[in-house]
Amino acid sequence: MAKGSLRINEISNAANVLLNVIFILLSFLCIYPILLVIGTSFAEETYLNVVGYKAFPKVISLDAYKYVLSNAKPITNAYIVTIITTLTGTVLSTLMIALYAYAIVQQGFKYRRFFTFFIFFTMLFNGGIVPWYIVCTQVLKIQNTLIALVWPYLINAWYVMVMKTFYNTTVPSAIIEAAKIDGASELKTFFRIVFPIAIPGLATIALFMTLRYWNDWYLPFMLTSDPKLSNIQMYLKRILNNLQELLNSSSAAMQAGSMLAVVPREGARMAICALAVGPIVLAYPFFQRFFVKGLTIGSVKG
Amino acid sequence: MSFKRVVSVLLFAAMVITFAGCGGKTGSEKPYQIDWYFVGDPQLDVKEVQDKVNEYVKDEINISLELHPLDWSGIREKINIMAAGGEKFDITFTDLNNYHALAAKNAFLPLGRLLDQHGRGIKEALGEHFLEGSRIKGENYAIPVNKEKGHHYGILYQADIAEKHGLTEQIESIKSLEDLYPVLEIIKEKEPDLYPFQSVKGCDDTYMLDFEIVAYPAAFYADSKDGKVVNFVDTPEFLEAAKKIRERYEKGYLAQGGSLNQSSSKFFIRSYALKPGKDVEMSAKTNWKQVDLTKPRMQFRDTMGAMLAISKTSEKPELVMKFLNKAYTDPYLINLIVYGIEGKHYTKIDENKVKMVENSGYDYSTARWQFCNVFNQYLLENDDPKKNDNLIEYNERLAVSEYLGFNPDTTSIKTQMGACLNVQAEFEQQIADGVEDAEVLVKKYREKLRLAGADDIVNEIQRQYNEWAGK
Repeated sequence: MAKGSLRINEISNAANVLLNVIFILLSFLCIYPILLVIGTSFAEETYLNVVGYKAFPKVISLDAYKYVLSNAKPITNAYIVTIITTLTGTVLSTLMIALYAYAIVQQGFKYRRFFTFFIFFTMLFNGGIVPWYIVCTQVLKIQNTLIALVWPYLINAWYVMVMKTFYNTTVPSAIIEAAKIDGASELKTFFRIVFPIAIPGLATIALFMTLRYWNDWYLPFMLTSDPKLSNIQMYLKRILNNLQELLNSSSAAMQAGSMLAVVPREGARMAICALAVGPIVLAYPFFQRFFVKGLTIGSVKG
Repeated sequence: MSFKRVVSVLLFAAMVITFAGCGGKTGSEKPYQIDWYFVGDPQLDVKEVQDKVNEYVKDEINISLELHPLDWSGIREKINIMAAGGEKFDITFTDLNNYHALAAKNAFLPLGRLLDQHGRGIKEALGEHFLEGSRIKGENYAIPVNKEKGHHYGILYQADIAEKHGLTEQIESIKSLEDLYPVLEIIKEKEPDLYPFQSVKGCDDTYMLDFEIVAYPAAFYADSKDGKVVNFVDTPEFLEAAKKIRERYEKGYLAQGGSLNQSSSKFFIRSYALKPGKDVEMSAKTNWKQVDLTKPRMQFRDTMGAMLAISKTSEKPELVMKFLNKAYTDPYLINLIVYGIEGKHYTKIDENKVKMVENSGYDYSTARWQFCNVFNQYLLENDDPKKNDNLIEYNERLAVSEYLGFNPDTTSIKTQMGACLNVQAEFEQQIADGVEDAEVLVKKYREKLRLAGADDIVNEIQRQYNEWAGK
C-alpha cells in the first residue's frame, strides 16, 4: 500500500483513530455501569458505607451473595420461570411474527391489505391498560398461569413490519414460484425454502424477543399474584421498589419501621442485579453467528 | 379434506373444554374465595396456612382465603387497574396515598351498614374517634388497622456512643432540640466519623410544629379549634423552624453538602416521628434509643395510616365483613395469618412472645401492621414485652384533633395539588439539609408554591371546611 493512496473501503489513519476512540468511549459507557454493579456486589459492607460504589473495591467479600443465596428457593424458582418463559416465548413469538409477515407479503393472498392494515393500526392506536387488563383477565382468563407470562407479547406489530420488509427485500418471489412449480406445499415452501434465507432477519427478531421476555417484569406484575410465577426481574423490582417507597415516603416509613430494618443491604441488591443480568449476556454471542449475510446471493441465477 | 379434519378436531377440543368447565361448577357448598391484597413478600408455604385458616373458620364462615402479597407499587397501581377493570377482589390494604382517590371512584364499598350488622367486634376494638377520621361525607370506606392511633416527634440517638461519652443522662433530659447543642458539640469533636445530627425529611423542625396537613400545603395549626386553614409554609413559625435547621448546619452539626444517600448509622442523633417502642423497632442494625419531644396527637393522617377496604367487586361483602370481624377479634386467627403455624414457622418463647423460624417458608411478621388488630398479635423476640400495654396507654392520652372526619373532596384542585407536590419534592430535602440560607430558600419555596396554585387549595379547603363545620 503506497503512502497517501487509500485502497477502496479504507479510511484515513486520522479518521480511523478518531472512530476507534469514539467507539472505545461508547463501549466504556456501556460497560462501566455493569462493572460498577458487579464490583459493588463483591464489596464489603462497611467499605461500601465509607467509600461508596467502586468498580474495583479494595476490600472484597462474598457476604452479599451468601445473603442472597441463603434464601435460594425463591430465586431459583424465579430463574426457572424466567428461563421457561424466555425460551417458549422467543420460539413462539418469532414463529408467529415470521408467519404473519410471510402471509401479508404473498401477492396471491386475498386479504393481505386488510391484515396489513389490521396490524399496522395497533401501532397507532391501542385501548390502554385497563381494557388490556380486562381482556387478559376476563376474556382470556390467563391470570395466574405461566401462559400469562408469554401470550401477551406473542405478536409485535413493529417486528411484523420489520419482517415484512425483510421478506420483500431478501426473498425473491422467483424462488417461491420455483418451489411451487416443483410441487412444494405452502408449508414446505415456507420451512424449507424461505426460512433458511430469512435466518438473519429471524435471528434479529429472536434476539429482541429474548431480551423482551428476559427483561420483563410487567406481565408477572400485572397478571400474576402467585409467588411461584414471579420471574427474576419481578423479584428484583419488588425489592428495589419496596426500598424506594420506604426511603422516599415518610408516611410509609413511619408505618413500616420494622420493614425498613430488614431491607437487603446495598451489596445484596447489586448481587441480585448481577444474577439477573447473568446468562442473558450470553444471548448476544449466540445470536451473533446468525447475523451473516443471507443465502440469497446465488439463489436466483440467470 | 384436511381442512375438514382440522375443523372436527377443533370442535372436539371445544366440546371437551366446555364439559370440563361445567364439571368444575358442580358441588353446591363451594366455599367463597376471599382475595386479600396487601404489601408483603410472597411466601412459599402460603397454601398450607390458608388451608388451616379455612379449616379453622369453616363452621362459622365458609370461605377459602387467598392471600395476595404485592410490592408497594403493586398496591398503588395494580389495585387501581383492577378496580377500573371491575375485577373481583375482596380486601385490600389502602392508606392516605390512594384511599380518597379510590373511594371517589367508587372502588370501595361504603361500610357503615356492614359494620353495624356484622362488624360489632371491629367497632368495639377501634373506638369511635379512630373510625371517624377516615369518614368521607359521613361514610367509612375502609377500616383502620388497630394499632397506635397517633404520633409525636422526637429524636433517636445511638445509645452505645452516648454511653461511651457519658452523655446519656444529658440527652434523656432534653426538652427541646436546642438543649442538645452541648452534646452535639462534644460528638463533633470526639467522633469525627459521625455527623452529630440529622433532620430527617418529613420529621424535621418544620414538621415538629405538627401542622395538620389536610391537602398539602393547606393545613390547620396543631391543637387549633378555630377552623382557620393556612398555607403552613407561609407561616412565620415555618420560617423560624427552617432557620433553626440552618443554624445547626452553620455550627457544623449536620452533614456537609446534605444528608441524602447517607446511611442512617452515620448520624449520632436523628429527628424522627415516634410512637412508643419506635426505638426498639428501628434497632435491627444500630442500637437506637428515643427521646420524646412533642405532644402525642391523633390527627387526620394517623387515622388513615393503614386501612383495610372491601372492594365494590366483592361478591359476598357480608361474608367478608364477618371474616374481618373475626380477624379483628380472634387472636388465634390473626396470629395464624401473620406468623404461620406454630412449631413449623415460629416457636413460642413464652406466653406472648414468638421467634420466627428462619427460611421456614412463611413469615409475614414484617407486614403485621397491616393485619387487623396488632393488640391480638404475638410479640416478636426483639419487641419490648410491654409494647402493647404502652401503646394502649399511649392511645388513651392522645390529644384528638378537632377536625377528624373532615375529608375534603380534592377533585377540583387536583392540578394545583399535583403542582404543589412537585414543589414539595423539590424543597423538602433542602429545608431538612440546611445547606442553603433559610431566609432565601423559604422565600423561593413560598414563591414557587404560590405559582403552583397554593392559594386555590387553601381557599377551596377553607370553603369545604366551613360547609362541613356548618352541618
